[in-house]
Amino acid sequence: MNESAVSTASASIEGEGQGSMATAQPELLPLDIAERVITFKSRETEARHRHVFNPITRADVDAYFSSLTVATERKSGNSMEYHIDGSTNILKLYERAIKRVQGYSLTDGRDVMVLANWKDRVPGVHRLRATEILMKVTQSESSVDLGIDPEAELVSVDAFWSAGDCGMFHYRGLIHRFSPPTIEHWRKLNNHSTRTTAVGGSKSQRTIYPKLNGIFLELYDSLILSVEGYSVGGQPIAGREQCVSHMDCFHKIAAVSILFDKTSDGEADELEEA
Amino acid sequence: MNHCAVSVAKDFCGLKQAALELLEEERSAPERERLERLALAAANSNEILEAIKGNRSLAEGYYARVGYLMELESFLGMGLRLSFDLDMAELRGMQSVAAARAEFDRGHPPCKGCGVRLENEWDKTCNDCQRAAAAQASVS
Repeated sequence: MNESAVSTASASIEGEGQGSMATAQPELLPLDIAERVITFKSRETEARHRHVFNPITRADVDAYFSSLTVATERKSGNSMEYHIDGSTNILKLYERAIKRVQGYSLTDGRDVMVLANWKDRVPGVHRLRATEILMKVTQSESSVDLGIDPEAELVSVDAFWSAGDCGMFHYRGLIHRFSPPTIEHWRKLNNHSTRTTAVGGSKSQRTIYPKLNGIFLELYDSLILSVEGYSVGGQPIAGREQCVSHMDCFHKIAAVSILFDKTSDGEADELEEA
Repeated sequence: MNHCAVSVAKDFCGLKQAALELLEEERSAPERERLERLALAAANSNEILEAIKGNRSLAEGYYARVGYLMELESFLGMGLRLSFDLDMAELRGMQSVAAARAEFDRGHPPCKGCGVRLENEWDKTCNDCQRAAAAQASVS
């Protein structure tokens, strides 16, 4: 199974006329900040927009995945068509988590926040962009260079978290150290992920896939040993219990999906012959 | 139009059908690859490729489930002692795969010469082995 729901659902933050304002990385990603601020700049107008979110909770993540639909449909000639509705759920997450916005004015010059329905009046493309940045977690490009841990599997991810005074910080090389999965973990994930539904009968050619967020979070909590690059209360995360209780759900899901992709990859590297 | 939803993991007849189709696909893979290579050089390559495409009749989820059940079956076949219980859907799913495999074995017995799966249940040896045997007989 090769499904990283987070990374596939996220669009590039550098497209569609806006750019993020990335700056130097602070030492540790602070998991327990009270607000997460996402900023970006419109390339056309140069206007800066700030979206301030509440911390994303497990309930927010569950709601996000519950409104996500992933299906395949076989067409004539056996070609496969993927149906992924990845916008409705992003907008739902935005609506749940957004606290306030800055940098949006009404035609009469007043701030958009004076409106009762201000969440709906923020341009849809900005809501999508801000939420995508909020939840974007990707495998580090440099993860092939990770050393070998004698007792654990290492996964390295990159993510944006929250803007400081100078713009968005892009954290790179955040390490998750896992117990190697056993056949029981493999079985749990595969049994769950192949519990699909054929809609319209067995010969309908349309398959709806189950949500993997719950099983990924469960596997993360049972396999995680330690992390590097994160802090709680200004101190580096110490020990497994803090990882389980404080780690962001999107980081957990991305790290576990990378872990299982990695361990199911049976291809050996090619031998270099003399 | 039929709007019913089928839980793939519990549709054991469908799983058996999907397993049979996957086994057939695997058996015909070398021939399909040969035809694909030929099609590359043919003038009517699109028609050839269309004609030799796989023949899956069920929703894709069935084949993914069967893939998992076959992998699980192979782990269990290694004689592993599991520290967890399989659920009923897994056990009955593996029964469906086993039934498909038995039907496939009956329909395509192995060649007595080289072991390759034969086209018909009444065949004893493959064409290559028959040709080799005939060549040997003519020499002696």
